[in-house]
Amino acid sequence: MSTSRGAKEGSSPSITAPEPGHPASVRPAGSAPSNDPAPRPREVAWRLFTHELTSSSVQEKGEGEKATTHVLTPLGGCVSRLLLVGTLSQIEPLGSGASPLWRARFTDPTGGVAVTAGSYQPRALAFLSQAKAPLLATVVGKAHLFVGREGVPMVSVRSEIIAPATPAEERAWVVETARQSLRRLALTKEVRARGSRDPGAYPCGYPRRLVDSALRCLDRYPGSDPERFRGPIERALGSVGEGTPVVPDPSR
Amino acid sequence: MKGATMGGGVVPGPSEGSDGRGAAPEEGPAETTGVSLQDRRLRDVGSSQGAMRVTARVLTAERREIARKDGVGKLAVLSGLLSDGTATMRFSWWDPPSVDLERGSVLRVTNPQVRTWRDRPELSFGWKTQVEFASELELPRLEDSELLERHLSELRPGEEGFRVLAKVLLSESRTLTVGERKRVIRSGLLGDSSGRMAFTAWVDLDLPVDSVVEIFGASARPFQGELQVVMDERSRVERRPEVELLSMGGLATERPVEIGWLEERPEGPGRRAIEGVVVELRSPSGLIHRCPHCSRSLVKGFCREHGPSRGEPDLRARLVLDDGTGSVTAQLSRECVENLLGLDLPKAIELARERLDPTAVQELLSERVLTHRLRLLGRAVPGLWGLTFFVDRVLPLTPEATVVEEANRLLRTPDASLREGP
Repeated sequence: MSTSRGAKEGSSPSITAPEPGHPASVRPAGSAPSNDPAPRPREVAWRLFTHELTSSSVQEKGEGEKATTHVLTPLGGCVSRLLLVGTLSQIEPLGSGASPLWRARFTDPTGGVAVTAGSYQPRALAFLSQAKAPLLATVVGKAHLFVGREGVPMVSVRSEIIAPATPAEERAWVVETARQSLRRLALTKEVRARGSRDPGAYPCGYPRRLVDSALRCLDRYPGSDPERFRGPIERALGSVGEGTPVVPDPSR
Repeated sequence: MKGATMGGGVVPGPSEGSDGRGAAPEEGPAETTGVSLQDRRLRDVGSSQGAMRVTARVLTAERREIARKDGVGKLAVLSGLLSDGTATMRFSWWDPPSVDLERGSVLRVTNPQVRTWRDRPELSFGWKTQVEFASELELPRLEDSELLERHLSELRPGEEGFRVLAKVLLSESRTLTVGERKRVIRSGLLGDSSGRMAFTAWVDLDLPVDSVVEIFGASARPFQGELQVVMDERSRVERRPEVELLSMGGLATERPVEIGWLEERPEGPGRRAIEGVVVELRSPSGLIHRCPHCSRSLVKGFCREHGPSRGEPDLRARLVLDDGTGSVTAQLSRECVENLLGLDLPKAIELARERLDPTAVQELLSERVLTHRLRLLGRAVPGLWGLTFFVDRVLPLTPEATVVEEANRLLRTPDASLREGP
């Protein structure tokens, strides 16, 4: 057999050489224009602490049919779906037989938020109706902002999935969430300092999706100082970092 | 072809008096050009000056006729690819002899012209060039020391003449029918300190899983948009002790990249690790049936190409993995799903039978994976609905100690939250 044959066949199915970092390969990020007829990308499950979530007072509905509603946060998050890991307590039924609704209190190291499940979320509903509080759980759901009669905004989470979590999963979530929150904090400060609305003006250390959403939130929280969110984030990190719990859990 | 004394390279032009004998190679052509002649490797051709001679093997050759610019008649040209083990280069032989140029023949080319086409050097054989057939023996020997030591991530499309030291992470052989012949090809995944890359060996080389090997004389070629290490008869593989890999920087810690980063640059080379939480299990997952003709999964016992069928049972999972920066639809094959379930295919079939429920396996799988963290090794392919991630392996999760370390790092240097490259 000719020695050249193998080389030829090895190369024959080639199509194109990959061009790493080619700008044309950038897919439109999460917050693409809403009049785009192309399929909407899946809403990413944001990682954020309840302190940032419950400090939000702005909700924005997209344009067009079946538009997604986003809660805009003071640290530049445009949150529809989110993922939380923490403690569920005060699990109680609210609805009637025909339209069941369950509610629970979710807490993380920075605060807490109400989590609900209705008949459109059968998996989460089944879980809450059988769960024994308090328990460590992962919640995937959608953020909702309700403005009360006195104009007081109330954020809650309509859960899609709830499942028990392990302490290791909780720690991994806290670190992941802290990293992404600190990044948004830095970006929010940068966006305010520069004031440029051109996403290309920001360093590539920030994902495109984040820059776009930070720009959407730019004028929404004029009086809020991003630095005031640093303390709670660091407190959460401290709960994972060096040192062990002062009182060990006797059940473990 | 042995002997190689036939003077195949007929070159028009009065000054080329050589008879094609290669007895005293330094003399003849050097006289005709009046400058010293140097034997060159193809990889050095692009940067070299002056008269040169290259000896290389024909990989492909094709005869064409091109209309002359002045409209008078046509010009014959023979073009194709030449390789000497250091590079593969395009050549064009103007006004070639009528004999056919067979794939595999060795050519000794004196005084070719070097031209650049799309930033790549090419050889052009014109009236000043002398082309002769040569023997295998005359092909330049490539000493191991001449092969450039490369890390996987340093390889560029089309590169040859390198050696890599890597660990075989995946390896499987299959039989392929090429023309009328059956050949065994081996494909899999290599890893070193710089990353991971798929390989294809067109001959059955010694590449068992988990062995550390040094590969000589392979080439780096794109296949379906992904760069691969391609080996053939010219390649050699030698086993190495594990310590040598350590001295080269060990195996890349399978540090995951952010999915948001992958979404922005899906075309990156090699395999990637990602880590995230499973937020959805898409149907059909679990126990499925595949069409025996095309392996598509059947929908209600129906293949969209081949109609109704009983199908072959198989396990698969399509799950959405989300790390907060982006999400992918991960495709897991039977082996991965068996590991996640802790059940093999026969046991999974048994479970579905016992429960009288074909979706029992999917239900068990969703209990096992939904809301749990997974670290996956594979490659991302962009599509209309976002990234699909074809999984090679399910990797162990970030160790607890690393999570704590990361927490402390973020506390000390908040800027560590910025995204780093892969």
